[in-house]
Order: sequence, then structure tokens, then C-alpha cells
Amino acid sequence: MRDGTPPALQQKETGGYTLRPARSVAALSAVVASFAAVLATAPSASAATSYASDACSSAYNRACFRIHFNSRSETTQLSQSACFASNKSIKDHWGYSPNGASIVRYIFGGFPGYYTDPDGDTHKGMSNPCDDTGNGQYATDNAASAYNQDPSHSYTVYSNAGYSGSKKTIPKYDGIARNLGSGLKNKNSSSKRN
Amino acid sequence: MTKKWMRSAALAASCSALALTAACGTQHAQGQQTVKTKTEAGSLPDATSRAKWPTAQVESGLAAGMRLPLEDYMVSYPDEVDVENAKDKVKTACMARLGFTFAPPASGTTPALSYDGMNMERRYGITDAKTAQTYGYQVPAAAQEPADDTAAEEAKEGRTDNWYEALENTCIPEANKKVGILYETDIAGDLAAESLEVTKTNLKVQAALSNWSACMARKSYTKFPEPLQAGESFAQSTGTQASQTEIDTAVADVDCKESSGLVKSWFSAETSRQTQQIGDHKAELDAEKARNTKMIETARAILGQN
Repeated sequence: MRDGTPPALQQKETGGYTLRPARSVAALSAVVASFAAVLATAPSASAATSYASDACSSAYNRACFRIHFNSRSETTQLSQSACFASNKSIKDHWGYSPNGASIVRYIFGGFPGYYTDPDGDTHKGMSNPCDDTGNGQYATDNAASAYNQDPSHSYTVYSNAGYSGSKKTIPKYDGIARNLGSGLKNKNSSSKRN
Repeated sequence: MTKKWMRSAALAASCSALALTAACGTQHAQGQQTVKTKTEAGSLPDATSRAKWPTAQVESGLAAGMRLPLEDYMVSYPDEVDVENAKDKVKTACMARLGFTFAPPASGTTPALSYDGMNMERRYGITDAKTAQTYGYQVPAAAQEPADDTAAEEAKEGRTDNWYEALENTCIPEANKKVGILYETDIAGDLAAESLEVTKTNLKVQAALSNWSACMARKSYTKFPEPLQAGESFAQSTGTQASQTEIDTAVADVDCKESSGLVKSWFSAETSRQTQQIGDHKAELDAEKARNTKMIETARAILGQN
């Protein structure tokens, strides 16, 4: 499934400090272009729906578990496309609804390679940051690969919500991304932190 | 780190081979007979942790005792734990050598949901009436993960850009070289996922699915055409406690699975399918298993060293 229009809002769902990403000049034009696309095609969802591609509390998203829109590159064995980043168990890649009235949908997004603190210090973000290919696409039943950059935990992807169905365990950070096989590709619905 | 006690080294080596013996897990400080169970990174899984590990076959519910053919080619949870802990041991020593602290939580110390990549307990959705009655579609409290400890851990390790550079450029490659890469290929897992997907269209499975749906409808749960989707709406809630509605639905779900024979039908269809897959992919499955076996042996040797 490749449904979903770019979101009106992206937010770091876990809160924390506010960072201003310091993007390279090359990336900046891509950001401007995708933002223009966001303004042009706002979704007709209920007013209480928001979108998140970031459910990772690691500082500067340095150590996150990523699921990606596209398969990995076979030359680098890494995944580069837009991703949904987390470092906790996610019962449903669809998203969640705290009270039935508001909804948070999980989506793929691009992530910066560097962050600039409010006081001007620069910090490296995630290695091989997720780019904007697939930015705004819903994460559920839509991932082709996984890339775990968390050295403390392995993660397991499941074909169905609530850790049901088929599974694939992605080990602690070992430097390679892995494609989801034909039974799991575009069928991801939950993931568990181990 | 010197090998101080020959006897404890031998015990540690045989313990890592056995992996499940209670004596292997705990630290006995009896004069000179201390069994060294701490890696530089932290404690390896002790007897208490090991006692909570999933068993090789599901113990209760409709999937009890079921084992599918491709499981012969899968890495078991205890083996996966040993490989990860051996790699962590290498990474920890490497980072220390470079002047950094690396202290990941040991694998095997947090609850696991299944014994291997087949996910038998929840492969066809929930299958245990007892669990459904208490937890609905939620995993048991014991299997829920602890609160977010990321900030504390990152602070403890003093993570900087240089820390990550050392890990990524030197220590992860070192561990990959010395132990191996876990699930570098996962032919068994990929085939198993394919098997579950493909057998949905099996005639007997389709018949059982219809019966399950009809049964759920008779109990007034008409919204779920597929058992694996039954828990979905509940998975979108943020509470950890199941509502009464969720529990009622889950109990009905398992009850209907029993009366429709869905689990048995699907298991039977998958057994046939996976037998065929094994025949079609024998050489690569055997090669993958041989690589895994070698990696696990290497891991155990590393864990056995003091």
C-alpha cells in the first residue's frame, strides 16, 4: 500500500528539547520543495489528527530503530529513504489514539544529519540520515526495510498489530540494514524493543 | 584480564555450552570457586532471567506443543542471546581500549515473547484463553518493557560524537568480524513469513476463517473479517490495561478459534507448505544453518573466556 498524502505537521512525539536542524545547502532545497508540497496537498483528516515520524528519545536521534519506505541499497547494505524512527515498542504502526478524540498517525520522514542547539553548538544526528523519499507516507504496512542503530537493544518487526503474525528480529546495531522479506514487506504493523 | 581460576574457567566454558543450567547463571562467591558471570558490560542473564525465557514449544492454549518445520532452521532465543552477549563483550572491550565506556543491557534479561522466529504463540493471533481473560490482546505484564531508560544509559556511557565514531568505525566491525553478523541472511524467517501469507488462501484455512468470522458475528462481534486484525483497534489505545470490551472480544476470539478449528487448519496448511519450501531451498537453508551453528559456537567460546 502506498497511500497517504504528506502531513500538515510533523512533530517529535516524545517531546524533549527543541532543536533547529542545520541542513546542508543541498538538502535545503529539498526541504523547501517538500514543504511546498505539504502546503499544497493538506490531508482531509479530522482536525484532531497529527503525524509523527519520530518516536525516538535518543539524543539527536543518534541511536534509533528505523523502518524505511524503500528497500536497502545492495551496494552499501544501508537504507537511505524516509523512515519512522523509534526506540520503544510500538503496538501498532498505524499510530495511536490516547482518548478516541485525538489521533497520532505514524509516518515516514526525513531526518537531518546535524542538529544545532539553541546556543549554537552543532551535534551530529543519526548516521546515514533518512532522506525525503517517501516523506509523509504512512508507516503501517508500508515498510520495505529496517535499520537498527540502537546498540543497546534489538527490535522485532511483526506483520500484525500487538506483536502477532510473522516476525523478523533486527539485532543490536551492527552496521547493516535488512530488507523485509516478501511475507513482511509492506505488511509491518508492530515492533517490539527487546 | 587474567585467567585466575582454572576450575571456574572450565565451568564457565561448559556452562556457556549448556546455556540453561541454573548453576551457570548465578555468581557463587565461595572462596576460590567464583563462577565469573559478569562481562565487562554487565551481568549476563542469571538463573532468574533464564527461568522466564520462553520454552521451545508453547505451553498453553490452542498452539500448545505446535512446531513448524522451518523452526529446525531458525536461531533459538538462547542462541540469539549468546551471540548478542558475545558481541557486546567484544564491543565493550574494544571501546574500553579506545578510552570509552560501553555498557549495553545484557540480552536475555528482559522478557521475550517467543522462542524463535516462528512466533507460535501469536502467529495466528491470540490463542490462549487464560491470557485473553486477564490481558485481552495485550501482552502479559511481565512481558511489557520497562520505562524509557535511554537518557540514563546515554549519560552513563558519556556518549559523544567521538563515542559513536569509535563504535561505528571500529568496534562494531570488530565484533562482526570476531563473532559474526546475526541474521545477516534470514532465509528461514523470510520463508516462514511467506508461508503464513500464502496459506491464507488455502481452502481449509479459508473455510476455518469463515467459520471464525461467523462465530464472532454470532457473539455480536461483527467488525473483524480476519483474526489477525481483531486486536488492531485495541492496539491503538495507549493504556496498558485491557478494557472489559477488549477482554470480552479476546475471549470470544479464542473461543471461536477453537470451535472453528482455525489454528489446527492453519498449522496443518503451514506444515505442508513449509515442508515443500524446505525441499525447494534445502541447500541454502542448510548453508545458513551451518553458518549460524558456527557463529553460536564462536559466541559461546568468547563468553566462556575469562
